[in-house]
Amino acid sequence: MKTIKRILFLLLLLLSASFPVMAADGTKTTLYTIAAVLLVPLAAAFWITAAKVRQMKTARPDHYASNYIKDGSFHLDVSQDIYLFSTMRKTPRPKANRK
Amino acid sequence: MDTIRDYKCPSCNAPLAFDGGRESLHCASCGNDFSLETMTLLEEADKGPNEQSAYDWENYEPRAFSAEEAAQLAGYTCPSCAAEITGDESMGASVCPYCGNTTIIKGQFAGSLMPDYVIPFSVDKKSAMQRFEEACARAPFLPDEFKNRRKIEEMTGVYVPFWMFDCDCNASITYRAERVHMWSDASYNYVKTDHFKLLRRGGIGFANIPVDGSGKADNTYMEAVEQYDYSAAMDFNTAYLSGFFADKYDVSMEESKARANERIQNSTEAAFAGTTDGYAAVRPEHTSIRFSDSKVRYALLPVWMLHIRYKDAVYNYAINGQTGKTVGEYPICKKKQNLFFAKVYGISLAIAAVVGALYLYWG
Repeated sequence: MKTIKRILFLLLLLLSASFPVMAADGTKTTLYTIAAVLLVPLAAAFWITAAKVRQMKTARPDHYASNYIKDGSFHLDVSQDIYLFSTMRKTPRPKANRK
Repeated sequence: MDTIRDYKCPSCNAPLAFDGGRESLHCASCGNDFSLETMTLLEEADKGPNEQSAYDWENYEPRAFSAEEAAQLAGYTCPSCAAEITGDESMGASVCPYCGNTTIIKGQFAGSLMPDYVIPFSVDKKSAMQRFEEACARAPFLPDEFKNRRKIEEMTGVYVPFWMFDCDCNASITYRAERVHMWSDASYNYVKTDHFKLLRRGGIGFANIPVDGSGKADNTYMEAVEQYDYSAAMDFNTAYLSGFFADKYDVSMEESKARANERIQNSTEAAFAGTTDGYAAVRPEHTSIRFSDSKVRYALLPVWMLHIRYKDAVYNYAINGQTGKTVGEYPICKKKQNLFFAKVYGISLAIAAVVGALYLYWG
């Protein structure tokens, strides 16, 4: 827990140190990039650690019976795809993005 | 006799009227047109799936032990969890395999149903312990102390009662599906969505779906410890109980049906859903499942039950007595977990920083 707190403190320090650069530069791209550099690895670390924690509990219910399907027993007698109708939605493109 | 048929719009359910110019049924509400052929197909598709699902299981015919077989058995009762287990007459029992209570009372064999078949233990106690150690080695955040300071309360081999369900299913499922096309021109972004009705009818068979028949055995553990190789199943004989316990069932076949039905329904729906590829979105509209050739049997399956005391907590594990598969919940070392998180974050941060710097420099 202490390690995580130290990492979060360093991140806040790094982010606050970058504010003068952004203010001088004035671009949103730099801000978004720094946020992505800090947050994407955080999300990845959480996700990978959570996957490892899941391995510590192997007793899980099985809500399916896929392992008990008789070989070759699955068959389709009727398979129909019926077209009904279509809907169309069009939205005007912003003028600044037109190329 | 129906002389007038009224058609409803599949999109908005408003009445359709035949448009002679378009030679199709036109909806004045949403503006869609449908050919007569499409409406006929839809009518036929809606006929079948209006049936409700029916899960009809055959009645189970119980069998009792003969007097000679009963004489070789003894009953054991746990005053803590009320488990009633059967064992070989000569077996000395001291610990309940379910709750770990150290006082179990040996009494007369009180009689129970004779199983249809049993899968004998093929993993002995030593091999089971070895499998457990291998499983511990694979647990990423297991405290180092767990290996040295744990106390194995008891490891007991138990034949757990299961109800085994076989059946053939006939299913009829309708879906609503959508296919999406997107494109742009100079002025607009376009999204066209094609709507479909999918009809699937067919069959699928299941064999040996086990449902735990013991109220004391944790159902989650018993499902997790599957699968068994049923080709090794033998007609029941009391000789197989020698050195092991056999639990009496206290969850009836009727009570177990619901779980079997749930697993069958989920797998049937998944199998049929696998035939609806090629669409952006598919959602089931109506499902009808009916059984045929259903069969229920009563079986005993081998499980090693292991109770471990570590830091004033008891951790329970189940080991498949045929395959050695080990399941349970392991204690987590927070220090190892945090260190792992910090390492992964540090490495990811370094990679992301390089990528971000390159993007800003060249972007």
